[in-house]
Amino acid sequence: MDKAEAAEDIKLIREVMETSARYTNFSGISGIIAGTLALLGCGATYWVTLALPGVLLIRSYVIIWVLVLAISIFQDFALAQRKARRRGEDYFTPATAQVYKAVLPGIFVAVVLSIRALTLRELDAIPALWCLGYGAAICAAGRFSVREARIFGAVQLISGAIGLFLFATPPESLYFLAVTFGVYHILFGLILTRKYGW
Amino acid sequence: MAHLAAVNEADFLALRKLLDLSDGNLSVHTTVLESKGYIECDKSFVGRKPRTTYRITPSGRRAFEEYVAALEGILRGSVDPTGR
Repeated sequence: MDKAEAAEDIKLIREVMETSARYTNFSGISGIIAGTLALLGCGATYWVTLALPGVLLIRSYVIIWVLVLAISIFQDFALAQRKARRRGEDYFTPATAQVYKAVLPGIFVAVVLSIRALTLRELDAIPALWCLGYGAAICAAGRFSVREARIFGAVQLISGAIGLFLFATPPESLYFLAVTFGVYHILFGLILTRKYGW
Repeated sequence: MAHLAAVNEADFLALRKLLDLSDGNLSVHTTVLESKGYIECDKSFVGRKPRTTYRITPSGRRAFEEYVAALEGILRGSVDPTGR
């Protein structure tokens, strides 16, 4: 084998591995569902804000958003596994492991800051804090996935930074949450579905 | 082997689509790799449809990595491309 053949072989191997190693088992439909769940969560939050006082409001807030998060994660996981099965691939690949490891720090920060904001009763800062943590998580995971994921992460990060200073008071914080976790996810889900299938 | 090294496991149809090979052509390659112990083959059923899945073995991964290292050696000039 001469150098030219070796170079050609290496190039092909790298192309195949880079394409194969990208995490592409995300489901566009899952983004649309997550966005819809977030909008429903915002609706429920609006209702309890009108109906419930003080501590009950905080507890309701926690219950609503833990439920939204749990259902969103579950359906995302289920649809991603389904997509992998349809493609004849294993879901738990090295690419998947890299993505999971990459998102953990951002998610951890979002959880810690949210709990602190709850104890300080700063509920209106929480949406922006979620955007910042979630955006950081997606930006990190996006290094092992498609370009659209990196863009989405960056949009969440920038929105979170803006939101913390401009939309951390009622009722703007709830509208901000509806846009960043509701509308953004639905739009992102539609883009992914169009480009990568469902 | 490059694809299996990245994803660990893939089924026959996914590999055929990725490599754009005919059934017979792909079968020849997988048979050779399996005979060398570089990949394992698992045959199962999904409902009534047969499914053949290939998984890279530890020795297969080592052989692949050694092959890539050899290619890089040729490019660096540290390995004689004629094999001498």
